[in-house]
Amino acid sequence: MTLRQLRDYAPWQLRELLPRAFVPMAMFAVFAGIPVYAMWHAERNNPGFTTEALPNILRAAYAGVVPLCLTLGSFLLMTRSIAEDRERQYVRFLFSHPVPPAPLYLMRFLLGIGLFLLCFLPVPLLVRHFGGDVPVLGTVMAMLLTLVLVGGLTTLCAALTQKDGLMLILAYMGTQLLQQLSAADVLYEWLKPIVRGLPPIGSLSTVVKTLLDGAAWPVTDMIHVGGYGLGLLVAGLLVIRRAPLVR
Amino acid sequence: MIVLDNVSKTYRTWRGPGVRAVSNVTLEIARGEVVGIAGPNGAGKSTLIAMLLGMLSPDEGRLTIDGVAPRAYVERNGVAYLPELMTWPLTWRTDEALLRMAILAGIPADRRRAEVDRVIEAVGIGEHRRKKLKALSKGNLQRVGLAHALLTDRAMVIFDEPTHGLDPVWTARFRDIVAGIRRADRAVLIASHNLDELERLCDRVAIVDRGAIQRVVEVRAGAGITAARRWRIRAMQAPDAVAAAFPGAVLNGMDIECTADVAGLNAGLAAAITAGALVTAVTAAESSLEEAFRSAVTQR
Repeated sequence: MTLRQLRDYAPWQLRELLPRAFVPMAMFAVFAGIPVYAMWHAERNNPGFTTEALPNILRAAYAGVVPLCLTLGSFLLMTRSIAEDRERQYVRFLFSHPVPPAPLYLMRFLLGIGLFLLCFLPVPLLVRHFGGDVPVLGTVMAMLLTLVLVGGLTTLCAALTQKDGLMLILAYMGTQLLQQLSAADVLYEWLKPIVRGLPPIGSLSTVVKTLLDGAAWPVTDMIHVGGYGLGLLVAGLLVIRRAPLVR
Repeated sequence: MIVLDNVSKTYRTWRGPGVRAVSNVTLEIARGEVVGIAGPNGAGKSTLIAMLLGMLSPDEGRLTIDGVAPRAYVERNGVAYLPELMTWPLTWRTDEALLRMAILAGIPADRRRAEVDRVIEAVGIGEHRRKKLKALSKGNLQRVGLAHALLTDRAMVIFDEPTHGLDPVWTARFRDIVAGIRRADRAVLIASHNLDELERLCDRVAIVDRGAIQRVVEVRAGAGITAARRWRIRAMQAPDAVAAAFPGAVLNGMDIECTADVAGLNAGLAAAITAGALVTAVTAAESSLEEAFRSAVTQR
């Protein structure tokens, strides 16, 4: 498969991804919009009301809701993509052509990230426009890291099993739980090195929070999260390359 | 071109020994051949096709296409493929769906539209080209699948239940299409339940049951003429003369059922006609493939 073929096929992939890429923005509008409106409404009834309260309200809503939108949005964007191709036997059409699966799925992954960034970028820009001093670049980095880690994990889950969504939730929540238990020092000693080797879900939460707060970037943790996500992605693509395409 | 040497495939399960879908299949398909695969449901046809497309690997044995593993062959050359069921998203528009497949097929950008138009015309779905797939009937959807298979000029063609859902007119048209794509440098594989169709289209038919090839039947025109077969003959005059010409024949009014090879049939008919019989019809009581299929599949 040539780069030109991939380029020509990209618009079709984008069309498929577009509805899912809008979900995080819609989620932000709902999850942040309602409390912001409620708080704004309550503030307006105060005798000492000034419009200066709005930026603070926006900032609080932003910091509270964006991590949720990023995590759930990444889940929705990345899952059921490869598995669905298999489930509806669409792989038989795709790969009866001279098309290796790994580049095609890598392209879908990269387009998904690009589209997600584009669709969600208006959120920090709008919040800034209305006075909420939120870090745009920090938000972009938070999105990228979440997408790379969740996307990498999803690709590997989809390569190994048909139930990628379920596997992702189990892996994500199980890892998070184990890492919290390890941090609280209530795990067996022998389990701790294993937990340290699991996907850095806990680090991702911390990194995202730091980035959204506009604090100094935790570069080492960012490299760890991003590198781990890319590692998972490469492992997933290698499995897709070697494993049966139909089950 | 295609070599299956003792190929087996077992679907493993968490519990139990698993299901052996393909068992010790050995078959060679040369360029220029049209080979059929016949078998009842669950015989292993789909697994065989999945392995030929490189989507599954055999657990045992060796499967090669032009000397390389199927996946490597398909990634390099592609295969013209029509599956049993069209599973494209039904929200896609007919021409757009084919256009996107044309990109994957590697057709250059300046020729894509023309190639899509060509196959749309070839399968007679011009009036549906701008319709979404969900608006198409089962037969028309199958014709879109056929258009997909005809998009490119491949050395290997696989049709899986190609006339599934096609009306009689298009079933006949499909035969013309297969006749048109038969070429000295191309291998065509057709999996079907329709024995009549396989007998008309193929050179050989492999009868598959319980994952194994039970028999390979030569069905090429002229093949099997020396084998004795059951015939039904209708004679408007002197049917008893016809019955007398074939030892063991059964006479039922104007109809005679007898057993003979092609040479014996002709000799018997000549004798009967000389004796005053007026023969109006001669048909095979059962096709040779049907006979072979029945005996291979019922020997359980």
